Amino acid sequence: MHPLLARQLRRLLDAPAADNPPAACDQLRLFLESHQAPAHLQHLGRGLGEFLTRVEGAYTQLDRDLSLRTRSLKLSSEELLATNDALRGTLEAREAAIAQLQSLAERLRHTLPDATETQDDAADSLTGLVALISHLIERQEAHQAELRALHTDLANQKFALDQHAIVSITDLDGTITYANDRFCDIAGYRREEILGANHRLIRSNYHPPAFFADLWGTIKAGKVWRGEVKNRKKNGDDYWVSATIVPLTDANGQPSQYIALRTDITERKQAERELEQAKSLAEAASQAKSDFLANMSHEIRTPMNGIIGMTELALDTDLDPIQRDYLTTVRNSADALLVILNDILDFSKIEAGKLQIERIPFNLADTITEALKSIGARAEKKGLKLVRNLAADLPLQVEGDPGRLRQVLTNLCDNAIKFTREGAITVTAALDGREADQCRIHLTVSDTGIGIPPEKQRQVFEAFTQADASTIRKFGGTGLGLAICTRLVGLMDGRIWLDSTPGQGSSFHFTLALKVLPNAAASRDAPQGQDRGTGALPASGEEARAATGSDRQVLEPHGRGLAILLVEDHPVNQQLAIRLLQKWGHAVTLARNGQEAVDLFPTAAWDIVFMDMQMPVMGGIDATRLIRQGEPPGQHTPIIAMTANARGEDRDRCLAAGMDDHLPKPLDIRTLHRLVAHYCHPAAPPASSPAPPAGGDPIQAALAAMDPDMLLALRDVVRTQLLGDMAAAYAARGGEDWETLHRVAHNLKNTLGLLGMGDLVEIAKQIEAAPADTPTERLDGLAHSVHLIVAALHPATGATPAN
Amino acid sequence: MKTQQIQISDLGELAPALATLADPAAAQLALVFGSRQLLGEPGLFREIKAACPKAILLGCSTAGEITRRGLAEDTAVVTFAQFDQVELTVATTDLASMEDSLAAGQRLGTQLQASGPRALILFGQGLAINGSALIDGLHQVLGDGITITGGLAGDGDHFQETLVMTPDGPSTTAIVALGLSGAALRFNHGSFGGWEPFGNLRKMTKAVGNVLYELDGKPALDIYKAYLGDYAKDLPSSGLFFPFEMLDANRGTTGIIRTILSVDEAEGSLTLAGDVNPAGYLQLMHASTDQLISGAEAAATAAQAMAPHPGEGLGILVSCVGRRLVMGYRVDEEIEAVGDILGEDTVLTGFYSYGELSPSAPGAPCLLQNQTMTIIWIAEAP
Repeated sequence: MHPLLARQLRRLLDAPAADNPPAACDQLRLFLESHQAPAHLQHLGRGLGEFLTRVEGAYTQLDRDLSLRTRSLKLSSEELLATNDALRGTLEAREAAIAQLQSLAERLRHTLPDATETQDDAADSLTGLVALISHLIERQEAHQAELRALHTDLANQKFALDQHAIVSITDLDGTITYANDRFCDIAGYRREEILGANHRLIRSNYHPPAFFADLWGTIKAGKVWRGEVKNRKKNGDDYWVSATIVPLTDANGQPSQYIALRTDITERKQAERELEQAKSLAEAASQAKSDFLANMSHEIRTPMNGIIGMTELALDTDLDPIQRDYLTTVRNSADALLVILNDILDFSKIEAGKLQIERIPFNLADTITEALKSIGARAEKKGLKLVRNLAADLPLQVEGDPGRLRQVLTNLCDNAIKFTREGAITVTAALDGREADQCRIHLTVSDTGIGIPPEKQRQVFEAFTQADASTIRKFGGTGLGLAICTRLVGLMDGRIWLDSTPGQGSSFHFTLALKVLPNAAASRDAPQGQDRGTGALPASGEEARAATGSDRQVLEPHGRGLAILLVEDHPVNQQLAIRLLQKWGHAVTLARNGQEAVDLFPTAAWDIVFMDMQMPVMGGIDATRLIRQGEPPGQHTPIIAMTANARGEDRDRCLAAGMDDHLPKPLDIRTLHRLVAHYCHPAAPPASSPAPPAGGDPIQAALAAMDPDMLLALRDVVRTQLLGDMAAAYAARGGEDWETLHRVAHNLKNTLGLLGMGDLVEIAKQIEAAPADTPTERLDGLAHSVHLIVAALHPATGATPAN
Repeated sequence: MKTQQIQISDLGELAPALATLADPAAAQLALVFGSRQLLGEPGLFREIKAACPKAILLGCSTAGEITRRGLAEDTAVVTFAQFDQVELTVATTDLASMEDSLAAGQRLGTQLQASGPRALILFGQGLAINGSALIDGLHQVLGDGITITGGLAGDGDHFQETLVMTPDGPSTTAIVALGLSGAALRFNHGSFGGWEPFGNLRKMTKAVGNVLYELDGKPALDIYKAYLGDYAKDLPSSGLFFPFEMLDANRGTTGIIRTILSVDEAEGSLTLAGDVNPAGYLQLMHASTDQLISGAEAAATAAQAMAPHPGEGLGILVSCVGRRLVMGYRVDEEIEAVGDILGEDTVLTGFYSYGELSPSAPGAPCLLQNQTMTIIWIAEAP
């Protein structure tokens, strides 16, 4: 029986009922039935036992339920605690993970583009963090999309590139890791043959190792290399590519691989080679033409020289009138032919771009005046006046090309004379503008001639053109004169134009850009001073006659016979020079080349050496240098170069080698006469004195002012010193040895000071002060005066106190 | 609709009881629930069949018979019904083995298909049967629209052999299904347990069919024994105290409760009264007697709520043997509670079973239930 029920029954019932209630219930049922108790009491008696059984069952059931529930509760509690612990652990791990997420999100915010626009505290709450991460993911996806788009772009570009270029990629050792189809196609390899192979596979061995050393040096330094490379196909054929090799760098900026982009230029190379060959051929042809022209120049001028010279000699002999007329015609024709030849050669040079414009110092007014002297004679002969009109503000000393200026002016004037029957030729020079040391000179040659119709005015500056085809027949000429002038003026940064009224005359204008130099050589300006300005040139007299070759005038023998060494290889020139010099009373010894001259020089005391430049065995430059080396100290024999190109480099080379002057070839008889006279006698007739009209007067005056005894004592040493210093000055300038030039100029200054030559001292001072800025003309001017002094001091001829 | 009921505790009482019936030959249906001993008596079938030759005779053995008077043991309750308009069909098949369950359902469905029943009342043997598969087989043939109810036969608290009464007599292997059709049919049902979940959800980590091996990676039997404590020695019958509720893979409730039928000490496994979803979760449940009675009331209320009931009806109560063991002497109280709700004019019959067949809610598919009070309430519209 259930303990609770048993206890309850014991408390309510006495023994024996309490000890065995079912038995007691059974006894009660029997008692009630036997005593015929009322029916409901009998019913109670029957049910009481069953009731107790059910109560006990309920108790037992409740105990069981309670026990199971208690146990369930305990187990559940334990499980819940364990779960709680597990959850706490999970929570902590989750919070740590969230913290990591926050820091990750924070990092992403600052690395992803456009992500920083989110709130700074967005990640503080979990919801915010989720939102932030969602945002970041969106950004990342957008970023990915951009990257994909970029990747697509890149793929497209790569596709495009592959269509165009030969592409390969190599690692740092040159092992090929990628090759596109074009690469395989052109090289003739299958891809599997190429991949993994070294790039040397396609080397042609055409390029030297230094070529590849440069290539590798460039790309290893992270720079892009470009070049043209000859590569070799598998079948041994070569092909050319234009290659660009780009180092692809890693995150650290170090090259990690190289990509080579090439285009096939084999055809272009082939074309280039053919072009190169064609160009070589053309250049060779052009060179041959130039050589031909140069040779022709020499070859034609030399016989022309002979004709003119010999005709001159013949005209100096006794002739009957007919013979003289014939020979005069020969000589005029030869002169005209020489002019034409010079025109053609000049034009050829200009067209070949070989004509050089000099930049040397010169006296502008003097140069114009000198040019006009010879023109004046020709104008006078035709009965025309030549009017010179030089503006007062023209700069004195300028830098430019005086020879070409003279050429243009002479040409324009000759044209004016040619096309003018009567009236005057007016030459005007004006300053057209000046800025700092740059000036522009405007020269005009006006005539009163036939004029040029407007429609022809443009044509006349073109080559081989005259205003009218009939003009050539009527007036002669090559038609090249104005074309040459146009080009020369252009080369001198100027322009040329004309205005003309037919029947009244023409004016030809041209401008020149010149550099203005500070005034110098005052001693040379002085005698010219009164000559400057406006006025008619001397229209008659000796000067005019001497300046032109068209007038017959017997050249007188020089006062003193000189010992002359002529160094000349050309037979005609030899004969011409020897005849002329002998005719003028000099003793001429011939050396056929430089070596003979060097050998002959020490054998006698020479007054002048005429030195040709180009000769077999030894040229003039080398010969002069050797002669100067062999000369005893204090002795200085004048050496005159005979050169066809007395300008620029040639002259510098002559002076640097120790020559004193030059004589243009072909030989002009009067120039030769004048030059010899200069070295022969200081008191030569004025008409044949050299161009720089230094005049003897100031020198003679200075010398006269000196103490005669002192002059006598100093005479020899001064001559030696002056000549030596002058030669040294040329040498120093030629060798750009400014220190020596400075020292020599200092010596000259002292020596000239001793002689009382104030103007020349100033020139020496200028050279001493700025040796490197010394123009050749300054040295020339000084040398000219020095020679005059030396001549004046000559024991035989000079002004001595004994005189 | 007319109903009459007799209850006997001995075969000798049958003839006098039948004699008390009014016009038994008119009966169309004779529902028989009784102990395995009585149901196995050949005379029982023969005498009832003789009394009402037109009636469809079906039923099964029980773990306790139900009438309005409450629970009875070792009796047989026979309820006769006569319908005015409702049409009945019956189908029977033999279940060759547990694996035959699905096919058996299909066979029954095929037999019933022609009559187009709206509802089924099905009885099957209660030990070697896969009730879930059986129901699947029926739905496959008859569609999801049909309402399937019923129960699995019981064998007291012996769990040894069950019988099914078919129109051809009792059978240990047969499954019988009654099809009901006709516009006048009123077919209400309700099913509720009254159990309460406790403790943690437990993930099934190893389960095959209706055998549960592991929960949360541990042997299922170990967990189970921990909760039973001293009562573990009474396994498997003490397993009825802690049935499982099945939850799906998302931990959602399914309304299905699984009872422990047997244990395997060597494997540490539990054999459940029905398949489990191996991907799902299980939760231990328990209940007090009062809660179970309230559960039975809830089932009756649900059945009543489906439709108002016109006049006389028949209530077939299929309650779980587990409930009976838990409630002990107080099991009558759940029957009284249902009877009070269904009303005096409803005749009650039924039995304590080894498995209830019913939708969890109106319109839902039929499921094999455990630990519920399942009510099938039929009537005929006037």
